[in-house]
Amino acid sequence: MGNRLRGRAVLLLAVGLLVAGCSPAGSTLKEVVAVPADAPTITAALQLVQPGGLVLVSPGVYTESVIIDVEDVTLRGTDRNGVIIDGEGLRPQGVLVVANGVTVENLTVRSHTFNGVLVTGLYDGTNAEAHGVDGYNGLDTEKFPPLQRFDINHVTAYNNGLYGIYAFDSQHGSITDSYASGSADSGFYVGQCQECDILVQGNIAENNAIGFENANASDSLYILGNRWSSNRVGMTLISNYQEAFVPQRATVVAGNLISDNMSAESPTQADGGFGIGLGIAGGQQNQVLNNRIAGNARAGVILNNSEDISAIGNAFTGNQFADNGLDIIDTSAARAPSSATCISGLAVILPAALAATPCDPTGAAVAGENPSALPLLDVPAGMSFLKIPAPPAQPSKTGALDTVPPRLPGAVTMPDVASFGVPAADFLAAP
Amino acid sequence: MKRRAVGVLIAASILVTSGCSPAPTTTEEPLTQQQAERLAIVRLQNLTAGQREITVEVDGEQAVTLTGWVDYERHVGYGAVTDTETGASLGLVNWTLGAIAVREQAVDGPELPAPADGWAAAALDPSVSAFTAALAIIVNLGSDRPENPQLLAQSDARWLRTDTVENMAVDVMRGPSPATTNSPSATPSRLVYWVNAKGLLLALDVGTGGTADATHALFTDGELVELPDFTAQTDG
Repeated sequence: MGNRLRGRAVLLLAVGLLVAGCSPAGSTLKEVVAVPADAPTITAALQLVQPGGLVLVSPGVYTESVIIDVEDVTLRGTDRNGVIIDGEGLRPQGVLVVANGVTVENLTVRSHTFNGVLVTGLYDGTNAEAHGVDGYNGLDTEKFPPLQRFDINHVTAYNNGLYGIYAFDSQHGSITDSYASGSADSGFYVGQCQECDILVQGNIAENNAIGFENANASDSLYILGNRWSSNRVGMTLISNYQEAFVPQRATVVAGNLISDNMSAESPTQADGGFGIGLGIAGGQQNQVLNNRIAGNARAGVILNNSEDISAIGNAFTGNQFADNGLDIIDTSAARAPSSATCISGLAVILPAALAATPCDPTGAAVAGENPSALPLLDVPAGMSFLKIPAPPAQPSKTGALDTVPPRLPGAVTMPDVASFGVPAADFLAAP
Repeated sequence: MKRRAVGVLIAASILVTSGCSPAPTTTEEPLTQQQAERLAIVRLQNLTAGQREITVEVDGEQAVTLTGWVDYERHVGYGAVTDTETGASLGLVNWTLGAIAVREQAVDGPELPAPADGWAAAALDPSVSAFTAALAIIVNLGSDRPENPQLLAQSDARWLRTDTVENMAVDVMRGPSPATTNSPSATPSRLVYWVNAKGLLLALDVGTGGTADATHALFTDGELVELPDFTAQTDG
């Protein structure tokens, strides 16, 4: 069997080792634990590693749900495409990060019924309920303060039933150079944080119901230089009353390719969305600049209300629009019309009032267009998320992989937003 | 064709006899995490399979047997109905989540391609009979999302026993009552599932909560076929 660890045998091994590993009162904790050389499973390795240490995983298919509850630990694969944490279509979570300062990098998580990687402060010692899961009752922000500091990079997450890579109730972290496909909700999701200090950069999402989603994540959230192409919906910024920290506001979306979100090889989007680049529902004060938004046959951007929350003060500058059904349409309902939208640059805009005054500093409410103005598309049937074709191999992390990295800093060093120009139409495309 | 249908019917009868009369004293246990994970993906696995072959026996004053297929990507079912006692053909049925089409001329089995004429369409009302209730439940057994296994484990869903279906080892589990969670059941009937290690549904019992008519369904996997949908049309 070699490194190919399987099912029940793994669980039994893990339990056996857990008992053995706990008995010497923690004195034998190691800085580096190799899997499977030092421990047969990742779960077993996490019982042996000291805070700030490294769990280094060799290629193999690991059929376990990993919970990382050791502070400042790095979980690293030696080969991004060969180290696979496999939910086998049965287990809910791939990697659940509940400790501060954790890094997950250079590995693949696939076929979980809920999430590939979930980073959250909402953990009661056994369960981490999360948005999208039946039975989730919302986040008690007093009881579960946000997790601090995380780094997810060079992770491939595919065919997971809710989200590929998901961080909520978390601050001061980054999700970079990662890939998600076949997610029945979204490939990437950042939600429920204020003063988030989170960077999402250099990622690829394709063949998901939604590429990237933000619900109620606000302030200092930077979505920079990503490829959100060939999903059903490219990305969304939404206010959601089911979640803490309404409304969503002040996200910077710059230098992304948001194109051709018309994938038939994808799970159904919950609201039937298809052919949409960027959807903003009740989002406020967001800056959308220098993105290429193209080939989304329903609309490049749809601006909308979320219940009684208006879309207010969203700014669109320097974006390149092409071949969308409409470039920008505001379909806000009369109960919560948008205001202070500011669009500069060439775009096909509805309603006519918004097109006539695309940047109105007075903040007057704009009557939304009837959604029937949008082109009607023939929406293909969704596929089971377990049947989406596996992605091509993704580039592994470079550099020395056996060294223990320094502790993650208390704040993320954000790139200069101005350095993100409009990306090419083949930005981050497979070679 | 007729011979094949009869063969399937016999297989179903065996299953009914061996698996579908749980004595009231049978040990019932709450689901383990692993059992809950498998029950949670029964509908997802039907969508993943795309299409299942079905043999459904519906008890009652006129007991009937349906042999055919369900396409879980389109939520469309199609099959031939016979009188369970006599084996006489009662015609063809074609149904979706909300509509049903019936073609009453006798046939040798679930003909493919389906005859194009003679269909009469109507709304599918699960409250009309055990048969329409069974059709509604069975066509709804596909979903693009799993249930929450943690909630299933905490619900009144129960593991009943192990069994085998067509030489495959299964666990027999009763689903949760609709009040406790968003159960896979489409009606208040109690559903009992025969589920293999991959979460694939091999058989289903639909009880009506008492001693009344029950439905026994067998699910198998065979060649993919093209299923019709006549539910939108009305034809004399």
